[in-house]
Amino acid sequence: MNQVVAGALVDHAKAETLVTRKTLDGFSSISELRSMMEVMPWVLKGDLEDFRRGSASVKLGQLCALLAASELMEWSPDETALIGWNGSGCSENNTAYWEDYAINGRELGRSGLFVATLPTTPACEVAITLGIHGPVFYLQTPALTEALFEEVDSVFLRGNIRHVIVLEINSDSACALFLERGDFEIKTRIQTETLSQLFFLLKERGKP
Amino acid sequence: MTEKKVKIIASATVTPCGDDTDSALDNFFRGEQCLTIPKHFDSKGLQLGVCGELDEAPRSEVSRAEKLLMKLLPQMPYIGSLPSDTTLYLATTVGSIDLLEYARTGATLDCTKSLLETAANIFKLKNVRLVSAACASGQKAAVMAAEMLKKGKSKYALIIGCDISSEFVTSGFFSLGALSKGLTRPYDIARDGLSLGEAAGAMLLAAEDTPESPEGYLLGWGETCDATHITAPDNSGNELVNAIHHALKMSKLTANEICGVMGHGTGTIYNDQAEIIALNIIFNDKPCPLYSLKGNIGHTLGATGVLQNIFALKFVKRQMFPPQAGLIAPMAGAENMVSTASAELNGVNILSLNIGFGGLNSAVVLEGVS
Repeated sequence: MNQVVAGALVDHAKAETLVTRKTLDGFSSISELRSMMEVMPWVLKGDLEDFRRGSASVKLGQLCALLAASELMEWSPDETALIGWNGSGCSENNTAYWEDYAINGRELGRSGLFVATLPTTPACEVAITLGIHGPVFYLQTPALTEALFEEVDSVFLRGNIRHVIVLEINSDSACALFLERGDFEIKTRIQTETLSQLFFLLKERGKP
Repeated sequence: MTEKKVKIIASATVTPCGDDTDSALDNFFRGEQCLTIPKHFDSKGLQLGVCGELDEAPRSEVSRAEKLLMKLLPQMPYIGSLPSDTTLYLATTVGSIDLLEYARTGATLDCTKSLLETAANIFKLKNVRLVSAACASGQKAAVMAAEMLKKGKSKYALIIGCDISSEFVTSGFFSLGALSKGLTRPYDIARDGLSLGEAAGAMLLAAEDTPESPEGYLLGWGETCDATHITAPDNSGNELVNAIHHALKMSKLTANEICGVMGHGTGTIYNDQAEIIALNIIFNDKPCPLYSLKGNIGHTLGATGVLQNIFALKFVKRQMFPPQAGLIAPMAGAENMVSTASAELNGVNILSLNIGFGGLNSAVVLEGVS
């Protein structure tokens, strides 16, 4: 049985962690949150070199995953997988690229907007931020965490993966949970429609 | 305890080289580059792989992706009779993106979700999952399905890979400077980029204890992420090497027991270079025949991994790789791997590679039936 061992949730006004109960608020933009995180000694330092050029969903994902990773004392990026799950996908990025192309044409096409149209881009940018070398992919299933956790179990079965990060990104929020392979017994296998719901449920119950 | 194997018991393809697998194979062995100037949008002279009469139809509210899936159906007589717990894994990068093109501007459509719903209807399955790992999506879907079968959750899983040629994707790859000015030339010394293609492929996987006879087996797999750059592969090939090591270890095989490599081979400078570096590390003392489908049909994105797995088994059956389409002179390091002539395969185990944006590496080992 696998266990949630860390997590974070970021929205337009507040960022919070699951286990250590750290909170950052009072920011007016995601860039401001980044600045706040940079001066917090408890926040892990990740590779945010590409932060400026990332889409809004990439930025949310990067900061949320960094906060979640900051909760863990020990983890190896080489033995970690990352799954982007459901959320708002890349529809808005598709529209943004297509409208830009319709106006400006082929010769002035913006590659940065095109790269953002892949559903995997936020997960891959987060992998760069955290240096993750395990499997990385995006999965869309019916809105129930059961389907997601079935796939997480499969990833753990390989033996070379100790942690899986599951990441849900919406237009104005992101939630990242770290799962650890182990012999933990979860009293109730909680089913929710979104990771954010699961985050709040776990937080309500105390230590996950 | 003996490890359970995952069988591939049926397959179907629609590619620019043919509306079924046999006609595509004939074109591959003739070295045909099935690339042409598309009719459904102005490619500005670029040649793409387009699927037969699909190109005659103008854009409409019915996606080309849906039409491609419908063209698979006649090759899939088992649809409608699969057990209800069968899961469909759909591999795609942009799904029904032409619906966004058709709507022109101002629309926000979920083009991947739309194709997932379409696939669920066409293939009559309720358990559906969309798998996206950029251009490694096809093999990623196969791996996920195989893992589900190994766990004993169900007896069958259907994998569909599908991506279409579109103005959206063509203009996007153009903006990245990744497209060939002419016809793509994978592993060639003068390669200058990829040619895009469209295709769909279907593989029906089954647990080992099912009665159907296999076309082949999925033996092992490995997946890694470079975590270095969002579009370019890691030039060292290190993480691709690691993915191959994982796949070989899981397959309980050594590199010497691999008889051929279905490469990702897009024809871009960087992809092919990273791949050849990795393959030279893996096969340093015994070069292995290497072949990329993309010389024949272009880069079919989310479908490519599914097609590679299907055609790998067909090549094992013939004990032969086709000539590398588009090749004139092999790039440095590939001289003893790729060929303008057909290459003999002495064995049944094929290594298939996918590399995707975001530094995603996928290695799958297949066992064919010769």
